[in-house]
Amino acid sequence: MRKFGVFGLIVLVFCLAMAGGCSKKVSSTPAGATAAGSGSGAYGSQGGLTAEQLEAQRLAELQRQAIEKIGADKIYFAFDSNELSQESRAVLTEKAELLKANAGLVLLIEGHCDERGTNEYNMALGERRARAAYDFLVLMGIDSSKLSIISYGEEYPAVQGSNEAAWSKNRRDEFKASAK
Amino acid sequence: MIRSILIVVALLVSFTSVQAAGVLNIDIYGPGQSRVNLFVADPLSKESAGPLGAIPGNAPADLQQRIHANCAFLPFFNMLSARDIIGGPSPGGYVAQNIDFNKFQLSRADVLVTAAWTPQPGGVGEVELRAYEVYTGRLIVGKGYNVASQQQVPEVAARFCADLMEALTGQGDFFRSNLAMIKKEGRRKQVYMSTAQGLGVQKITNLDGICVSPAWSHDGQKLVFVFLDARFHNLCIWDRSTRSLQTKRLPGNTLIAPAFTKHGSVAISLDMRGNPDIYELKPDLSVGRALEENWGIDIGPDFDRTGQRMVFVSNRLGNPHVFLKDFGSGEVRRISLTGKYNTGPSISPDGSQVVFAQMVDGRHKLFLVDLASGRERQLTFGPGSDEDPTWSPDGYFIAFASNRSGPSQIYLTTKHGDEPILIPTGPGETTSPAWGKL
Repeated sequence: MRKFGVFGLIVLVFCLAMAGGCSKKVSSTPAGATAAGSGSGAYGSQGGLTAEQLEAQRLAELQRQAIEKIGADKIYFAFDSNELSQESRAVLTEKAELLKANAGLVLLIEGHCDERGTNEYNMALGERRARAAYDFLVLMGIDSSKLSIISYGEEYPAVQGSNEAAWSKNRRDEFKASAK
Repeated sequence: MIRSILIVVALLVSFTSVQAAGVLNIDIYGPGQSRVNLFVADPLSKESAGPLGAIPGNAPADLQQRIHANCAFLPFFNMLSARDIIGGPSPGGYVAQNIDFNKFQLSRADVLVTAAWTPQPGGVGEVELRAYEVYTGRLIVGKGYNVASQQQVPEVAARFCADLMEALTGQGDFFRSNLAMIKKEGRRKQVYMSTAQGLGVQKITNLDGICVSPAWSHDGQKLVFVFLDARFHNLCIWDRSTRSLQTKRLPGNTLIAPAFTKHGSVAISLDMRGNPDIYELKPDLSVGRALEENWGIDIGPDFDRTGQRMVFVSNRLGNPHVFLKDFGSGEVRRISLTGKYNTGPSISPDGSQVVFAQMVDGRHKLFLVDLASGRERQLTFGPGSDEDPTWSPDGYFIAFASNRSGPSQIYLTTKHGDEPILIPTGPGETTSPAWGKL
């Protein structure tokens, strides 16, 4: 999902660059001449959009960026622990700011575990991990009605493997923000 | 399903089903489990007591092989092969007076199984199966079956082996019970079931998500499990007779490890109060009384046959440990005394013993604690992790999931810690066995 977002952004930037390049070519009118359709009547309704629509587009883009940012950073845990590290708190603080700045977003917090525990205990531990982030965000002033949690236990590892390098990436919370 | 299509009738032939009183007896529950040597002879013609002519589908050889394979699951049997029999494997006949028991004695066989077939037009045939105690020549079990089709052969083998095991040990439920399990299919996990020997594997669910933690009702008619979809945990109850699936959302976010109580209600961990506690659900599946509430994690209830005792996992002392609750006295006590990570408890049907998984050097191994003495001992060893133990209804076998030979599969051991045997349920990562009555 995130990869697609980044890719989409690159494509968008590329298209804009191309469009910019093209507009330079077609707008090579003599100095002092006025390009057709560039009068004040056309200003603010680019592509037929009203100012409100453009503003809505801008806000939607900001929201999309916020969703992407919130989802980008996971937080990680020690084995059989749901304690938030200093680093995790910093990551969550950033997410709290983004949520405050984008009041229209709700957040699903997913708790995950590595494969070493047993399935059912990991389901409980995943819940604890998701709840640790939930509690922290509530303390940071986020309305609890905008937050929900789910535990996936060890069912969806981020990294395959049976070594500490993989396990340390799998003991995590993931964050899925979306518009209300 | 097998039962519904089976038209096999247990024929009471000229001999009756006999349990040889006081002859050969195996105490599967006692401390010193004895082992006996078993030989399954080639099938014979009932008419000539000699070599058998062709029978459609090669049913006689199939039945012989299946009886051999079934008995190989029983740790108190040491299976003999044809080359172990001095003087050749043919018994010379299928009834005591014609059998040359001497050579089987010399070959150290303790039990001999014979099969006598009568081909039947329009069907496979009738077969008489007998198990003899070699030393005395006494009949242990004798049964006749009308086999209408090749598909009935596995059921005939299971029924005979149930009778043989029961005659020798007093318990034959191993061949009358089944296992539910979870199989991984891509990113999904589905519920399957099979006989306890891994036969008749059938897929129960086809849900878009992850199914976890199956558990049977005590009568074996309902199966409860948790289904994780893209957003929620859901409680699911599958009815075996109607093959219908009931799904329900419950309060809270997290549903963990449901189990049926003796009375048929469901107990499950819910996080309504901010951490998983164990509740009993009402018949309409609304939340009823709390069975165990604590500040910590309380999950994984399992109940004995009397309903008086419940085992569960709690981290109330810091690390996950196994606890026992006695509903009579209300007492709760920790019963896993060693290790720092003890989970997945299963209490024996009679409530006397508890098996659970303990983390040892980063891997899980099965441990068994005797509740009367408090003595704890390790049941499984070797590579990989052994998890999710479940008692058989007869309180003798323990099935569990292990990745000792690669992707997780279901294995069988006993309360004595007999060498684990693979229960072949087909390819794919297989976990979470749950033992139920057939």
